[in-house]
Amino acid sequence: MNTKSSAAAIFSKPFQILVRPIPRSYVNFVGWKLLRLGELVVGLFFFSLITAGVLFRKWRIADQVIRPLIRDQVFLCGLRLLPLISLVAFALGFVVIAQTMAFLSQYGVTNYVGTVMVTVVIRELGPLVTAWLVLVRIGTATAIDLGYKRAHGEIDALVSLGIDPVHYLVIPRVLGLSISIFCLTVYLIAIALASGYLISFLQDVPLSKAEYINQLVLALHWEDFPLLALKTVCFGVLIALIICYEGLAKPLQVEDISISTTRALLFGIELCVVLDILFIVLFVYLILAGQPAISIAPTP
Amino acid sequence: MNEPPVIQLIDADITASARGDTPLLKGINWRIQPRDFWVVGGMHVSGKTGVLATAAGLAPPVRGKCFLFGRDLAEMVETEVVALRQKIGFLFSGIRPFSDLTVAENVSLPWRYHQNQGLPESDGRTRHMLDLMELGTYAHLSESQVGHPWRQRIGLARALMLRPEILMLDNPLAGLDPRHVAWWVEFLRQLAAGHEVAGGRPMTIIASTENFSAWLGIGKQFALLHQNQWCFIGGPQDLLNCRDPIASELLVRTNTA
Repeated sequence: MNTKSSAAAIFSKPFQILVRPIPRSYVNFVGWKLLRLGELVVGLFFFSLITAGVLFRKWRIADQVIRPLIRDQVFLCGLRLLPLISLVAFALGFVVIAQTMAFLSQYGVTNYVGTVMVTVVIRELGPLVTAWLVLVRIGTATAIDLGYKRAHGEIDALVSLGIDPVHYLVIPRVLGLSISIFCLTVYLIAIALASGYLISFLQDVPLSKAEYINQLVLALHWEDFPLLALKTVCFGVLIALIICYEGLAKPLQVEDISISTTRALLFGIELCVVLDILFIVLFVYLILAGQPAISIAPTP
Repeated sequence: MNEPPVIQLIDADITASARGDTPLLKGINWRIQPRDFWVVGGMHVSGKTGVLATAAGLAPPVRGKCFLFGRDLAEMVETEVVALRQKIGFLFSGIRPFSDLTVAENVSLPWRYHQNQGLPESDGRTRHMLDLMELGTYAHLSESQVGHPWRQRIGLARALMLRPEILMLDNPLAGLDPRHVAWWVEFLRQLAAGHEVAGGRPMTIIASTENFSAWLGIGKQFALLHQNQWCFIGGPQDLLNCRDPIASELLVRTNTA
């Protein structure tokens, strides 16, 4: 009777269990964490629905105010990150090529350098690394900024002026981050491919520029381009939504800002990985199904 | 001459945001007529902000009804509420202007958003409002570079940019020196009489305070929030004759100060 009533009490208020202290049992701890993740995913889902509704309903409203905000976001999240992205892209190209050449040259199969670059940099690491860099560099600052606005009543002030906070604060960030991550990913890939060739040239690898480009072209599929665009835009939307959800969706006190920022960062990293896995599955379904497996063998 | 009220609360229970759904004030019946000048007094955490926010349609009452310009708030869709909200200018207590905008951008934001104008197009109106508030020299500074009294004026300018019919001020004189208080009193007197910033028509004003004395000269109706209750006092003379200890304390504290 007691168990029944306590279970009923828990399910009568969803996620009521989440306000309880962390249980000592490891299994309970994991369950508690999973429930927190479930709560976030559900909240994020409804928040994204609201955002999508506002985006379509207010597409043309106050565009003289919203457009400069999107431009500012592109500047903040895109242009200002170029030096950092350049450094990371150079390092990425260097590491991938140096390690790959060290391995492939043992078997004399340097003609797979392009395939490796396409698989590792263009399909996987390029978009994911860019998304993580933007999340860490911009997402943290934005989460703090939004939390500060929420805690200091700026959101209430916006509402009192008849300004929709989702329209004014969330939409520019969603669009700005999506555009920025797409452009930065393309930039990172270009620098990584160029630095990769530079390293192979410096290592005296017998690989001409034309051969390298030819390998890249052969390894690419036409599906890579729309998938890359879709993936980067999805990363941008996801990161912006997580940051805005943690910063705006719930009432915050000043002392909660650091906690919500950390949570936004961690969930952002985790959900980017989950999204990346979904894209790998989609890629496998679209491209690799029905194709013969590639075997690494010495070229004649 | 019996005009319909612009705002009406009927048997409304009101909560403070920090208290969840627990009512802070119960059974409020409040009828605000055009051109009224209400001053609502109360001690700290007596529910002043909650009453004003509910009357402005920013927070629904826990129980009871709220009518804005004759329409039930509970039966309106969001777009209608937003349209009506533009007729009500609201200045929150202690809330700073938007931190990432300059003073001029802060003031012009509601006008630019609702009129879909860029900064250059709204420049004339913004400059005029800044001059009225004596904020012209601070136009290009960020909000953190100006002091509290000027931040209050930024909030007032922002609330007036859309030419509202009703102005709600949550404890606007808190923390101001006598010179700034005198400026506010004179400016609100002009607004109540009909200022060109509101198109020349007399404005309905509702202010909350912890200090009645500054309002004695301009307020027309006085009310008090005490022990979860709304108590209507009457006009300025009724306030002076009021025997309620809290009302007297608010007056005495002020006079002493």
